[in-house]
Amino acid sequence: MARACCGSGARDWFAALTGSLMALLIAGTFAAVADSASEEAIAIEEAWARPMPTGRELGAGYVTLRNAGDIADRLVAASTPRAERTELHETTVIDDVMRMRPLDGGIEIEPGGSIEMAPGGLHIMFLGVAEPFSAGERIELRLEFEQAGERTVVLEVRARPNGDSHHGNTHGDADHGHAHGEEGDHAH
Amino acid sequence: MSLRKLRIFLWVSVAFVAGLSLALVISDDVRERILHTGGGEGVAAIGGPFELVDHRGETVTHEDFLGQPAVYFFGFTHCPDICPTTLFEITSWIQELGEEVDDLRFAFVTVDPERDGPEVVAQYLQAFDERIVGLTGTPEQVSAMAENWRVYVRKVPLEDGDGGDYTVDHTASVYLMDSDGRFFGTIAFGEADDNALAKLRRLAQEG
Repeated sequence: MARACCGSGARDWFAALTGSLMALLIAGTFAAVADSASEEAIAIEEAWARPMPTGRELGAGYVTLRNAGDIADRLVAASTPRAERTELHETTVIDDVMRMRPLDGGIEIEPGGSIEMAPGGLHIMFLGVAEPFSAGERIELRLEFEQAGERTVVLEVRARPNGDSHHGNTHGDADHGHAHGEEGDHAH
Repeated sequence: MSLRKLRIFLWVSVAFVAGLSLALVISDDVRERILHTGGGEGVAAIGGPFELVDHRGETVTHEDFLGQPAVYFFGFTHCPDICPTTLFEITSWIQELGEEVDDLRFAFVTVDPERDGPEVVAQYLQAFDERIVGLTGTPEQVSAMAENWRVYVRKVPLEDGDGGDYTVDHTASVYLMDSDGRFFGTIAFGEADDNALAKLRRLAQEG
């Protein structure tokens, strides 16, 4: 009898423990699924960077970002162990004048949309690079998104981009407020 | 007495202005020198004399570039995107065209002479085709050339840059000049390779 009594007490404890563990497991699984869902929403492709001329401590890298999710996301920061500072920039060529400006607010990727960084458009600028990138190297780059969190990609270092359509970028004709028609004495 | 002096002065002024106007009307040479109209040959007045320092630290002028068509690109070494892009493109065009462009000369002119001295430019150009000559100079020399060549140059501070960091807005096109140093055409940034190669071939043959 005493056995039955004690045995049932142990069973209760065991059941409670198992139940909690299972609940934890289930919750954890859901959390993991939710996490990976928002992570998977952003695909990172075509990651490459330019070799840097000797003695240059700066350069540019390019990635293509696709947002398969239902909500807009925003690339807010980038970093690499190879550079002291990493900034998001946009180059524009308007009326044959090249201008480069930092994008302090990051780069938005609309749901279902994509951002294609390319020479003459959006790029990631590396500053304070002690060892200039050289062709064939692979550079680790961490990207920080508002929704998808932190992601790591590898940039291939090469002199020219793959393929032919390497100029400009398609960011849904976004509104980065280009200063059109500014004064300037320049050739066409 | 003083009235007489004034009258003489005024008549001399009138004569001077009249003479100058006459010279402008009848002499192409004077017109070209004063108005930079290029002698009415229908060629835009882009280009002209310059005196700069090359990447070896030697003085060079426009005369050193006469006799062969030349390809000029204006940029700066702290430019991460457009400048290396264009210089890598020029490098690949040179490789692609091989002997066809043996007679062409290639120059990279910095629009940021304060940071780009001859050594910096020399080191920078090691990444690209060895035929590209680097040109720099005093800020006055460079801006004089930019003005004559209608090259837009504007220094712009980068707000969050530490220690007075800046970028330089500048004309993005590649300039093609004929063997007499006259403007031949441009290759725009992002122009298709086939177009660029065709223009360089034409420059080599006709320029």
